[in-house]
Amino acid sequence: MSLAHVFREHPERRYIMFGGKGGLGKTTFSAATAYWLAKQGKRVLVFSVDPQASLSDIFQRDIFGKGAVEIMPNLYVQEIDADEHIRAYQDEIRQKIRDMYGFDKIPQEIEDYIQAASAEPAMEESAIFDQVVDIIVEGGYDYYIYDLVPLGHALYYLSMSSVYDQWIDKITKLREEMREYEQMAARIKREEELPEDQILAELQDIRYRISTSSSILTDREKTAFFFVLVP
Amino acid sequence: MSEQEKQSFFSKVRHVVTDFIYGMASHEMARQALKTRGSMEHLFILITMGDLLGVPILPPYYSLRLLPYVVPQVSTWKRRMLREKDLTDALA
Ligand SMILES: Nc1ncnc2c1ncn2[C@@H]1O[C@H](COP(=O)(O)OP(=O)(O)OP(=O)(O)O)[C@@H](O)[C@H]1O
Ligand SMILES: [Mg+2]
Repeated sequence: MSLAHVFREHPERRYIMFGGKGGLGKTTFSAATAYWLAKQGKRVLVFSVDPQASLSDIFQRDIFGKGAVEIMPNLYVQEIDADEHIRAYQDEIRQKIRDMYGFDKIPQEIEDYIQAASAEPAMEESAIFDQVVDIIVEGGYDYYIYDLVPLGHALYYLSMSSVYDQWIDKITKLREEMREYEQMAARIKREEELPEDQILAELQDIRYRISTSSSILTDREKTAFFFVLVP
Repeated sequence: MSEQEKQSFFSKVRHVVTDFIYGMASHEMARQALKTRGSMEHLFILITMGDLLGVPILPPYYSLRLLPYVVPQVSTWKRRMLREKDLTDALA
């Protein structure tokens, strides 16, 4: 099999995606590649967002929603449980609101908003997106293998990545501009220290993470994309 | 009042007047800057929390991340936004 050849020839391609129609062997190839690389002494993470937990099947371990699990030396497998992640994330947001304002209970209007935002299909999509961003930005592995779900998903993921990238960039710039007006007013009124804009800080963090991961995944030097086809 | 005293008196007055006008102008500038900042706040919340009005713009995952910081604005904002007529101008 000449995949080995590809990895030997291009050691800088550390991000690998397997795409193709359903049932053609993406998960099988992902697992085999991960196993081979781990045997070569590379630290490998193979991950998926497939709710069918097919990596759990192939490695015969229940790893769904359990973070990165070490299967054998150098081989880590992670199956993201998007629903569970969204639930935990909502709770985190609620807790933050309670702490920030000393509420016992989340105001109805805010709770409605949390529910409505979470009910949108775009919620799952953006949550999964962020999980992948998280994995890429955190680092710590020599190779990352993304076992994709159906066809289109890979390209879809990449195009989503550039759309998110541009959106966050625009919104962050708007916020930065707002900050400039605020600073201008403070200077004229000779006010001392302006308190930090926490929203701006969050946006800059989001922008940094998204642009880091999207620049990696759209870089052909770093990311290899394989289509699994029927022979 | 001697010529000398007159001079210094007028120069003082000029100083005070200049300061006063300068003060007014900078007050006006600061007010303008804050006003601009305020209408941008409007636009900002629309873009980030847009789905309050049924127009999702920022991916919801990130919009929730900003939610805690805009809790106080959200309820008043919703009411104000619904009667804001220059919204489309702001977005253009
Ligand atoms: N090279 C191969 N030769 C024979 N059978 C194979 C081969 N690769 C995979 N299979 C079999 O095909 C089936 C589907 O494989 P796999 O789960 O890897 O596909 P997939 O592309 O990940 O599917 P899905 O789109 O559902 O995620 C499995 O039963 C697997 O054992
Ligand atoms: Mg699969």
